[in-house]
Amino acid sequence: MPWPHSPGHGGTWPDQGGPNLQASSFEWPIIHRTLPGLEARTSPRQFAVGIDGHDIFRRGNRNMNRRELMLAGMALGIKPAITSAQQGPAMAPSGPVQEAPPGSPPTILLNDYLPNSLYRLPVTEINKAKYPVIDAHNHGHGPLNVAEMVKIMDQMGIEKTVIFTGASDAGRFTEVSRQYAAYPDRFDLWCMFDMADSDKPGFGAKAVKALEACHRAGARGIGEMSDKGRGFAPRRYSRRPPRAFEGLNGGPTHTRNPMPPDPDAPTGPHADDPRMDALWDRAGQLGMPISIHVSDPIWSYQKMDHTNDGLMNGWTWRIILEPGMYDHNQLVDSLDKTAQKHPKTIFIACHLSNLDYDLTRLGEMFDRRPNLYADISARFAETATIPRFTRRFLMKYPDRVVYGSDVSYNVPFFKTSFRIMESEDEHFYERGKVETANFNFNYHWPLNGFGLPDDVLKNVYHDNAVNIFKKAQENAA
Amino acid sequence: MLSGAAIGLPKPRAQGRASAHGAPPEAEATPDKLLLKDYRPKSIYRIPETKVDRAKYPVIDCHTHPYARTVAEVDQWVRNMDAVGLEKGVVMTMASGEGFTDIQERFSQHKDRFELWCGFDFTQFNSAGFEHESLEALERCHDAGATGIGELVDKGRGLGAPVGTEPANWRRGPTGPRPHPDDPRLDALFDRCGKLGMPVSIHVSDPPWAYEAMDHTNDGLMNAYKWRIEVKPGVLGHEELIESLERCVKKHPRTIFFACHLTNQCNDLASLGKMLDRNPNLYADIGARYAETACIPRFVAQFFSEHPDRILYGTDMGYDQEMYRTTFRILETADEHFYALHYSYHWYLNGFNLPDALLKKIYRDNALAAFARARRNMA
Repeated sequence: MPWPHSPGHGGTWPDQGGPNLQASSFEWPIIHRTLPGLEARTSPRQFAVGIDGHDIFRRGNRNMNRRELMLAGMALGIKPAITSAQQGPAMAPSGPVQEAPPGSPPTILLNDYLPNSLYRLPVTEINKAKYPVIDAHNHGHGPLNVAEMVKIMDQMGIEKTVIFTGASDAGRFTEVSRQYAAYPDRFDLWCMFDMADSDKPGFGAKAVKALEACHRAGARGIGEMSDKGRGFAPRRYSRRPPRAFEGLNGGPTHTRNPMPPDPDAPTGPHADDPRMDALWDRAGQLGMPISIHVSDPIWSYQKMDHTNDGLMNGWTWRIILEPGMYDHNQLVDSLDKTAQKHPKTIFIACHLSNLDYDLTRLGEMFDRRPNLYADISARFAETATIPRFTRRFLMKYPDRVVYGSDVSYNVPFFKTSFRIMESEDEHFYERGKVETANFNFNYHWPLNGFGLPDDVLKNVYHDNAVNIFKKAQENAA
Repeated sequence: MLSGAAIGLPKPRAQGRASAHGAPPEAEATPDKLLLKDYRPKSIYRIPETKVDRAKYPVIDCHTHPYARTVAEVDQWVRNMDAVGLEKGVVMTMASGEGFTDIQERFSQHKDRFELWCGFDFTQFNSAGFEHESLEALERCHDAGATGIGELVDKGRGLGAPVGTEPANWRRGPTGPRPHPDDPRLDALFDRCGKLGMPVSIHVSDPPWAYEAMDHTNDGLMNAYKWRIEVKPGVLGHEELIESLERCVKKHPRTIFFACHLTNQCNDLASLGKMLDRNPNLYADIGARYAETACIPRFVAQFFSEHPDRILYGTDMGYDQEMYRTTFRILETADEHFYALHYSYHWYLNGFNLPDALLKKIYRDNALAAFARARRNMA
């Protein structure tokens, strides 16, 4: 199947081992259009280019090969870089590289590419969620104060927000709780496991005690427990990229700076480590669901080259596997095994378990583990590129996925996330500020809406979260 | 098949750039130095991939060209057509006179599989005898067996401008100023097409990205750069060309027009829809505009369903079996996020998932209806 998967622009022959990587990036289709006189010599091959300029990919000897064309070109004394209105970057058929003018498309880095859609398509403006929302993945009020956060919640239709406080001891938990005390019905405050000294004897009992104390202090669940390969570390360890910088030409603000790999990152046990068993069980007994983040999107693990579909984001979030680290598959597996081993504990896999690229596998995990759920937070960009498949998946598992934000609250974020959930809008880019409304992250993809049917929307927005909390309580009883 | 290794970051060129910019070669191997033009993403989504070996219904390809250079190649083309379910191809030779009859000879073994269309002879356009000469040339092609006209191309510089694909000895372009479709000097020709029952295939403009700033905001790169059009005095812009086409179509209501490539309004199908509504003698082919529509599949399916009788299947991309299969996959399936049709836009493609009744029309019935109408109009 060389044809449809072969790169086409810039003069490449599928059956000649790859694109023309020689110094001369000679573009044979263009020569037909740019070099008067050549047609006479190449007349038998006149329709090698579609009338509108589409390159025609044909194999084998049906094409004049590059050498033939070069010879033909030289014979006719063709000069390099003849340009006119409709021509591409014609290059000399032989001889030195024709340097593309600075700023011209051949010099644009993928890193700097921030396309805007020209399509005139329906734009669904959503000012409030169609049904009340429970946000099952949030880390706190961030730069806003809690009152401002509640104001946005009211405006956008967020009934309740699960806050991952990051606290693993009751003292700290109580301290954080106070910030939200004025709105007891609007927030569910969750704690973390105390992962200190996980390599020492007595870890389990100590951590269980800390958990019980947090529970007494009001913690309703646990999260976000995050393992990107090194296990659950003592403190929340974030690979969050550096702060944003201004985009090109005053364009959208976003980051393109990858986190350097950090060999000194703290480590800890993985989910399926026996040291964790007591904690998972106790969480179940206490009726506390657990939000667990394993792995990262698949493109972080792929070769960082021109074939990586998830660039530049895959680069920003890149993960370099070192000895002892779990890879993507092991991490997903560790969650699956843990959910199996602790059937009375409720697990919410954050970010669709980073299986946005393979929702079928997530579905199989749902089939096997009735105590497993998933949130869709921060995986809108990865699923909005396959909207119909995602829609089918959510319709097949209408009770298992919950809405989540994972950003500091701001109106544009909710508008776009609701647009993705509710509308069938197509081909849009959303590049707000990093960590707020940058839906594209650093992916090159255009986004599309899922157009979820009302009943599924209602479930994902709200009812599934309610049922999860209820089920956790019932399991505890 | 190109392996990942075979098209790894181009070493020789990377070093060339390194020396030019003074960066060490190893720095060039990271994706933050990756040029957009070298980007060839592969989808790793595990989602359904529908293999479409044959079109679901028989197909008439309303937009192709004499790609086959020999009788043997024509034979191969027919074998490809048989393999994928293509009943017939409308071969737009763009040629007139001897050029046309040469091609006709080449295709003569498969008369039932190809319609051969001729071009206008514009050589005398700027002289007094143009109308007479060009009508004569048209009649001669018609008598020789031409069943339609095409592809007339105006990308702003007028009809008959060199498009680079026809051999010089067949060129029938004018020397000097060239007409746009609504030029009154072409009225007799377009009328005669109607009287002869010959539909006319016209390509105006190019995709909108070819007209945009060639910078990091251009969604249609790198393709747009290759097709870029500089509108300058004497060159009609995108909208003007489409308006010129519409005036031409209105002036000749008994002539059937095929607007090539969805009039290059893939980004604004609603406007094309209105134009189709206003002009019952106008059809639009989808040739070589799969990549531009497969990124908005649901909107396209909706648009087609609103104009079910006016859209024609076309390719304009050679006669490779895999090419045909990719177009079928786009029309028939709901597959998502795949890269095909040789990467020229950065975005992924998605299938339109057209319902059977509509698919049948676009594949074949609309073309047959258009040909029949053209014949009826001549009576």
